[in-house]
Amino acid sequence: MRRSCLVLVALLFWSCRASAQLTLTVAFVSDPSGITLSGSGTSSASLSFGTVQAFGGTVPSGVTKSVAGNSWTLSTPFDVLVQKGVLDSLSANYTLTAKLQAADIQDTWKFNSVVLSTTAATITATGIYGNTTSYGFSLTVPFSASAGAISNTINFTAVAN
Amino acid sequence: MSTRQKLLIATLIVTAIFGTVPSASATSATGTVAVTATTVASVSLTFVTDGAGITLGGTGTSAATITFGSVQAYGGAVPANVTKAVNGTTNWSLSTPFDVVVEVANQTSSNYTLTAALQTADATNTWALGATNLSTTAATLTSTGAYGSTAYTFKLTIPFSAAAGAISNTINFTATAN
Repeated sequence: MRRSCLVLVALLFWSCRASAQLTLTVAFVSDPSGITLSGSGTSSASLSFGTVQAFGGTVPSGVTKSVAGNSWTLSTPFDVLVQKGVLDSLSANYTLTAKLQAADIQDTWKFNSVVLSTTAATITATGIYGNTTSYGFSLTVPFSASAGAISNTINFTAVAN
Repeated sequence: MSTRQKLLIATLIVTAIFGTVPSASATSATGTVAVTATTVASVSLTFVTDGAGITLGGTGTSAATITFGSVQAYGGAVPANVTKAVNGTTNWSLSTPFDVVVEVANQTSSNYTLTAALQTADATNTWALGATNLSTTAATLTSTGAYGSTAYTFKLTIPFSAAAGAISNTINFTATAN
């Protein structure tokens, strides 16, 4: 009985130590052809376009600017990596959703061609674990918008299926 | 150890490893990407071939070219949509319209001022846009330009007294949002 209890305690200890792998993890990684993310490889990254303008000026490496109609768009890919843990060993894939933290009625935010709002939108329902998947992100700014700072946060949630 | 105890231990071990059954309680993870940009106002000035004008080289860009080719006061041919006029025995001119497209972004502006200047002084020929003769000093073509496309007629007048040969110059435009 005592030996079995020791084994159980050891297993629990191992489970706790390996807590990072118990459940899903999500990380954002700079795409080779995209802008360099600050905090790449973590679950809390940031993407800074810097000072940009519709006509002229420059954009960071890995960022594409396009002007069309009455707006202009900055786009760049970045990668999402979801890995499963012990508790998800029977999960075949995952669902990834994304939403804006704050509403933006002026600019258009897209991730993987999905327009983002403060309501979670499904980016994929069959995400592959351990696969660094590249997604296109774009921010469209209307000509009519006042110049100034634009900032928001995209909240991602990965759920094991 | 009794069978019951072994069964209990086994159950606890399985629970320790797998916790709950995934299908009954899916796990999830969250992450955030903060995005920032600072936009500044900008104005675009491009030149586009007019439907009734000569075909511009580099149409749609801010660095276009007009090439009249080999032309002469009497006889000869001029490119499509170029008008040649002979003024008595004094001079002759070539004229053609082209479009100036001005756009503004991220700035509150109702109109713009457009100026033009010759890059190099020309004491022989007369360069004009609409009714405005050009020199190396910027001349105002409009101070209330409407954003979008506006056609301007370019006219190059060559005196009969001028020697034959190449003529070239560049017109520098500046559009400023009002």
